[in-house]
Amino acid sequence: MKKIKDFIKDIETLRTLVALSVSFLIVFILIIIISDSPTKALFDFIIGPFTSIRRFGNVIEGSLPLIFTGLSVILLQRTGHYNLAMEGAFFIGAVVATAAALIFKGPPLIILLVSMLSAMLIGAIITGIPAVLKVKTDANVLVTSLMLNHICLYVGMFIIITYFQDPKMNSNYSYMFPDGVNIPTIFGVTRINYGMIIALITVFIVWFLLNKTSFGYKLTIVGKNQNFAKYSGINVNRLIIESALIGGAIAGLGGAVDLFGMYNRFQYSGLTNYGWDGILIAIVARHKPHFVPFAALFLSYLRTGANILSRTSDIPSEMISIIQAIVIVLISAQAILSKYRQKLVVEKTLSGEVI
Amino acid sequence: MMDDTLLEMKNISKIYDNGVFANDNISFIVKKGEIHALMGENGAGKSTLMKILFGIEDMNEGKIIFDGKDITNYTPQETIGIGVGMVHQHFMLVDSLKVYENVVLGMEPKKGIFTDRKKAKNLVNEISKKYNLNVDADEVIKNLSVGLKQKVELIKVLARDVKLLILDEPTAVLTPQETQELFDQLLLLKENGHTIIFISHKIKEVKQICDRVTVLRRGKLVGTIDIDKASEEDISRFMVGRDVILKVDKSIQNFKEIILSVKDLSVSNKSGIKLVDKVSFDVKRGQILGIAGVEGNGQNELVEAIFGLRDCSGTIEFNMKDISDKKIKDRREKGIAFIPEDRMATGLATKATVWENLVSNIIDSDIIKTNKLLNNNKIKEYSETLIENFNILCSSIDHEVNMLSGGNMQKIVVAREFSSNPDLLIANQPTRGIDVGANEFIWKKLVELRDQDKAIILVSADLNEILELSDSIIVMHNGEVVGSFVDSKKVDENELGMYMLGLKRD
Repeated sequence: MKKIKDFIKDIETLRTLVALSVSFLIVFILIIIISDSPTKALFDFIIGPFTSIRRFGNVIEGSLPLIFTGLSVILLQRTGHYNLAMEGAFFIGAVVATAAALIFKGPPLIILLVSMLSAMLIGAIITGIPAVLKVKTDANVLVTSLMLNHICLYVGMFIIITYFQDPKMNSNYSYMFPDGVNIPTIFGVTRINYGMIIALITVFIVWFLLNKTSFGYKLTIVGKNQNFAKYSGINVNRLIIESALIGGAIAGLGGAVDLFGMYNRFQYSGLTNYGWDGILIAIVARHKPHFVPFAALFLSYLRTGANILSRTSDIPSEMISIIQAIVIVLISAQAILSKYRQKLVVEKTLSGEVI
Repeated sequence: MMDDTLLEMKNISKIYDNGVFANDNISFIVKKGEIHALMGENGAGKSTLMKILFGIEDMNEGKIIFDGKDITNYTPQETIGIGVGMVHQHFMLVDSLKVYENVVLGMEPKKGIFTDRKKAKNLVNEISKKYNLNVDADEVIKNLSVGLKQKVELIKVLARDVKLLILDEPTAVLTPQETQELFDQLLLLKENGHTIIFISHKIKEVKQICDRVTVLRRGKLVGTIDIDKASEEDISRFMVGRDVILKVDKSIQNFKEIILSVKDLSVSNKSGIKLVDKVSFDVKRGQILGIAGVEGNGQNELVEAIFGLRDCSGTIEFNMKDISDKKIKDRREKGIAFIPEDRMATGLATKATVWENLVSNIIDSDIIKTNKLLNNNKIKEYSETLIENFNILCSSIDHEVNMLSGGNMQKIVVAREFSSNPDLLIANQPTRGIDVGANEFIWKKLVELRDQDKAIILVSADLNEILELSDSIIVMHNGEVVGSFVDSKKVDENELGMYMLGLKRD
């Protein structure tokens, strides 16, 4: 027989699934109401992403930046603070990677490496700022990190427009990267690239860090009870800063990988929103790094489906924002199934099982 | 229903979300005009039952009848409205307001749009005169002693025309003298027709003032008995299901060299008020030094400063070396361990697992590592050894700590702090709120450690604990050491009480 504890864990999983199914159901109902040909729309939305290699490729390549920002959020929130600077870190990472790629001369592989390292460095600095301010002045991390995102956007755009803008282009695009300065694709037809390998290695590193090292243990403890951590002799302030630095480095790296994998010049015109998506990914993955790729694939699948939907039917792609919002609300809603859970726990207790 | 019944709780059952059976089919009756004791060890379900009465907690099953009315589904506001009042263990007072302002809070007498201060003061004075509760209506709460604050709580409840008064462990924070005074007032209240539920686990007190006692054990009703028909031993057996007299066997004291020497240690709070004022003392190997005092007189701040949890001035010498600028980690490595006062806030991360809580002090050491990396097998082995040695009841080291009972939680703290084999153990309220079995166990462990020539500082609000365990005692009042006794046998409860109240000092 199962212990109550395991059984509560099962309910947590069940709750995630229920939240996802309910949000799907709501979307189905919306599609049926809005669309003139609901069956086709539903088909496009659900099966669409699997109907061609290119579309399926879209699902996988779309998950790539989400993996990085999801991991970044897991680290940033590990110590119990809501550091949201990963959005800015991702963007400024791409800006600095562009600058490095266009300034430095040398073999493409070296330029690529230097660019990525610079992106990681600047990402770490950006998310590190709110953490340092928190530790030194007790400034609210949420506020400072949100402000910082705007600074990243405008400083980043300023750098691109002032120093690297290609005058031949109509938009605020940078010059082309030198030949060979890109992350090559793995399968010719799609844009799935070796960035995926970097992402999976990062997943492993974060998992390893959190589960196999005392550093990871300490982060968990700080997040669960800061007083207890301090009393145990753990340097709480240092860990708050260190976890922010690592989280930011991952977000910055994500910006660089996205840039070199998908484009041949800088062409973002605003914040990418991948940082915000990272919050959703972290929630759906329940802050476990090894679930992040699956959560990222799932969100990317929804997006691809919504995209196909908007091109082939009368449903706008904004539909996806609705799904996202519903998923977040439902998964964060602790009360869902709580009656059911209480009922089951009562039954188990009455039947005499120990905890 | 009988005429003299004021409250009837019928077949109350409550199961918490973590599967804990807090109340299992409990029924009891409180008669009009009696002082009814509700007894049981911590975790027996007393507080849950009272929360259900108040409507703060939902019940799974059961019925509540008050004064002939079914109040099963009443909200807390409605319950207060019909005349049920409670004095909580932790006072619910606004520190910066005056006594009368606290009393009339939420029911201010009005004169136009303003509060009628005169009327409010009169109300307070009237009640305090009637029930002999001498409190100055104009005093600000934060200047009052714990005993006086409790009186304010009483006045607050009485001002709301209460028929049934519930007191949740009212004597836990009082000295023997203050306790006696409280009892006189309670008897006066009873004479005036009030009904009182008195929650306590001190048998002597219950015997002294209560008419009947209802005993709970592990969420179940053991029974209700008339006090005059039961002896203290009877009640004790009722509570724990076996005869327990808390005594501890101790060898003759044999002090060795000084291990900790504190000189002129002072601690101030943020607004500059001195919480600890130039305290000096020594602790020797083989000695248990008890720090007695009414709670909130600087004992907690003193030991937290010694462990490095608070900034302080003065010197702290450990093994002849000044450690006052050392970090907690260094102090731990030098051989100091600490059992904090509040296990939920400081002693544990309750949302973390059992093993995570057991290894927090050795996380950087090689004991649980292979090649610098955490080794799950070693962690498991290490944790299970501690669980076995300290009789911690849990079925897996991967369970969250908040699924365990208070006594087992405290044993986790104790196990971890003992695991480093410390030269000095600071135990701050090591047995607060845990069952008798765990209490005995922890006492035994403390004495064992002392017999291995280690030093122990014991802070406790429980005089029995201080007298039973300590070799030497110092008493704190208002942040100062007001009395010290090298031999604890030369002082008794009453004399300590005088020092604790500041009525006497060396």
